[in-house]
Amino acid sequence: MGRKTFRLACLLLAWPVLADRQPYVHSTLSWNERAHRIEVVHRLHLHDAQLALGRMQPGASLADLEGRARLALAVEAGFSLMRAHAPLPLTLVGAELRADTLLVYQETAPLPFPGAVEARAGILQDILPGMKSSIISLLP
Amino acid sequence: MNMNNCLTRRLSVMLLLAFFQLAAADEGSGAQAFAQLAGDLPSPNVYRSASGEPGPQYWQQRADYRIEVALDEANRRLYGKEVITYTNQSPASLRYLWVQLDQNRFAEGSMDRLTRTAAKTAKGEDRLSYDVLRREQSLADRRHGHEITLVGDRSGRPLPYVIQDTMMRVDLPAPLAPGDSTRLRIEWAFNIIEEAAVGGRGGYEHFPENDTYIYFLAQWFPRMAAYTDYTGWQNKPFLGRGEFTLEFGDYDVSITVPDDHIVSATGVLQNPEEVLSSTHRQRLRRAENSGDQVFVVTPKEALENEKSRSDGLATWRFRAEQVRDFAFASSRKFIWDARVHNQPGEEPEEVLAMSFYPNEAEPIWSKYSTQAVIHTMEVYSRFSFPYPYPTAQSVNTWKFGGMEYPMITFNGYRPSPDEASGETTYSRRIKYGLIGVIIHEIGHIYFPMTVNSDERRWTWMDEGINSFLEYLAEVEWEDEFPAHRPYANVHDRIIDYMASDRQVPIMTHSDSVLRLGPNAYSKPTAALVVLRETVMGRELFDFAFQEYARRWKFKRPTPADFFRTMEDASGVDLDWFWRGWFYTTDAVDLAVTDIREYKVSTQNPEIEKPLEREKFAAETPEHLVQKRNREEGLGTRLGRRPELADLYNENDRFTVTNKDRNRWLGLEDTLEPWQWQVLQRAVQEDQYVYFADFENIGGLVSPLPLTITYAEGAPERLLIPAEIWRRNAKAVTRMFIRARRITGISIDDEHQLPDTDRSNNAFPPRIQHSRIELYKRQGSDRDLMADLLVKLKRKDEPDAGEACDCAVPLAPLDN
Repeated sequence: MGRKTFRLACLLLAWPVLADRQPYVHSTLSWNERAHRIEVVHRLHLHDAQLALGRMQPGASLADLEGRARLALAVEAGFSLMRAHAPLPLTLVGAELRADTLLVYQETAPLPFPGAVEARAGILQDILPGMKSSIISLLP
Repeated sequence: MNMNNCLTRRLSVMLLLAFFQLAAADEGSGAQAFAQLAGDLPSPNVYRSASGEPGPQYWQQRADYRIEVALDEANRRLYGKEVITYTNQSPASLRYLWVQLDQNRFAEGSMDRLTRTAAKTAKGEDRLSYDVLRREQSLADRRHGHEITLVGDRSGRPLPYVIQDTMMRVDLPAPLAPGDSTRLRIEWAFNIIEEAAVGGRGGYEHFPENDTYIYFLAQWFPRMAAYTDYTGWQNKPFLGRGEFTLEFGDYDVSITVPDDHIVSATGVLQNPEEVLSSTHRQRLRRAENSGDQVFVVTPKEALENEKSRSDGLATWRFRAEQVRDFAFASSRKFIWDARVHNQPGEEPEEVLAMSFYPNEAEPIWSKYSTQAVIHTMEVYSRFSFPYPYPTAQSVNTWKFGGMEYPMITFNGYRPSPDEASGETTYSRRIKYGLIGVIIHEIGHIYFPMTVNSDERRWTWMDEGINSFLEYLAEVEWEDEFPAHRPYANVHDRIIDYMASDRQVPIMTHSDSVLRLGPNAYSKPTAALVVLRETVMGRELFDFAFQEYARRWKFKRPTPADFFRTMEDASGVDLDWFWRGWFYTTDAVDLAVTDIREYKVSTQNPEIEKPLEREKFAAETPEHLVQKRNREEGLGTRLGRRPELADLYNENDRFTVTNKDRNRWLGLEDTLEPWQWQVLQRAVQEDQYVYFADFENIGGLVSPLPLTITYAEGAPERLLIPAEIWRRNAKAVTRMFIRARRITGISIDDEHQLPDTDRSNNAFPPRIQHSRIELYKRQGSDRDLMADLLVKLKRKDEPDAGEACDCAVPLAPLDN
């Protein structure tokens, strides 16, 4: 795994840890060799996602397509990729529920493997203070 | 697998050695991975032995406390005075003593407050969250930190002292000789923090809906710092993360609070007749004697009680023996339930499990809290030692999170009113979060409250070991317990972390750990699960782990003591395991990259040559020009002129010659008799021979749990120990001889290991789709979502100049 090629910049709001239970969104970057795209999967717990959605739009539910779409847009707003100091555009593919996790999908357009990229995440932190973001790179 | 022609390669026994050649570049890498840890561990000595048990001259200090403390509810202040009896059991004379003042963490100018760093937005801009601003305001509103009003000797004569952040040095009039005791009198007060605003291990919680409070006091009194054989006086300030290790001792604590409060505390209540009504005492006795879960204070009584405001005071007195700390909680909001847990033949035989919580925590607290406390004791005691104290308490003090002290734990998770219906509901996360956090925090009463490891230095020693046992207890709570949400298997959860860049080794000092949760909790859990289930096996692991717990019960172990005990009691060399998992950030990424299939060659040309012909034909299909010519009926000159044929048209290169036959007949003479016998037997048995290549891409050497599938019959499970990597830790080739034909080999089908890339775990490779590709195949739902995204995006685009009101608005100033 060529982890050295990945430069990571992750925004974490400092808040004292009480123990081991914190709201988190994990963003995983991977390279799809067949499609020649970077794929990004954001995972957040249903509870946090519903709480955020409720604050954005009281009464909205993740059980509805529209609720998931709204939350996906909010997640999209808090995440960006850069290559050589220029934004690397991402397309929001969609979102789905799996067990008690909401998955939000983004991908780049087909491109040659970009080498070093920089990711920034501050997902939902404006809506849920204390929400933490972490970025996992599985890029080769 | 290189079997595209469906024919088996014929393997000459004489050529076998050629396949054992290893890639020269990786040779020797195993020596480093499997080197002994001697250089990384402290040398054994008279205090800590090479076997991992306490040495013949092991010592630890002792501190006994008599404390009187009063809660000033109107001013949210605490006043205390204490007499500490400190016994020097070390071989050194002590000219001064160090005392911990953890409340100083919140004081103006503390190291914690001075060294906090600011956050940035996703775009790299300065950002001020409402949470951070609330904290700053709360800290600015009141003075915080210990206000020391007396430090004196046993008679109250003042002693000189110096405060260094969260530490206080008290200079003794004369050195305290080995074996001697001294007494300190300390008086202090402090303003209690609002925990939700400031963040901490204790404080108060305000319920604005009905203007009520819960007080939960932790790290609240001047406590003797640890003095150890491995570091002398503990000299790390409290920065909020690295918790603590302290000295064992007996406590006698009198807590004065409003007389309508219920108090939960470390130890056993000494004066129930003074603070409880006869009804409450009767219910408490029923809980102690009946085996039923009993409400000592009912939800209805608590609801009534929290409406009252009494001016009277009551003093609750608690005693606790052989504990390393003391915490308590006090509120007029508390419901109190209790149930006895029996430990026949052990000391103590009966443990009173109790829970304290407000009505806001119902209905899940009365259903799960005390049950979870008892379940923890049942499971942990089996893996370590019987629960060592007479009470085990779970107190609801906050919405999320947890914190542990001897015999008492502060736990979060409450249901919340549904915004639509107004009814109280709770999610899966709340339910399982509650059960999980109670197991975790009650588990801490074993590790580190009894096995007194040093969390200020090594967070993993209690968080990791405890999270491992928590995981075992959760698995025993119910099937598919979502212990590592959304997964039940810790290995499925930890792989993202183990593949990430933001890692430091588990052995990193507590205050410098990045991503505390996975580093100190989940990764050690995964490591110990691998150790138990895959490397050592349950029998060896459980014995060795129990031995560690037994050896260090009421003592202070270091990592080396744990590592050495696990090896000493199991007879398994685990230095490679500790190095890889605890001293590096290597990941598990195993791959099977190739399989080559053979049969032992008979060397008999009458058998082998036809097979070679068949194999060659299968590997080289008829070329296209010749094939199409034939299909078009073009024909060949030889076909039209048969007289052109000769010997070479009648025989190919696979035709058996006399030379071949003579070599076959002479073969027996070229082999040793035993070699000839081996060959004959192999020919007779006609088994398949395979050479499989394995790579350790992630760097963390691990066992190879293999599944071998066959053309016919059931698959075979085979666990190859990690020692296969002992010479070459990067790439190895292993031979398999099987009667059945192998169709594939895969690694870790059962997810015994946190393999970070499973796409290379099978040969032949399995088709893998990314999660996004699978999502895209979902059709109509996905299309609807795509439409909505476009629609919403258009709709939600803010007008020019529209500001988000979610973060505190900041306006730059021109200077």
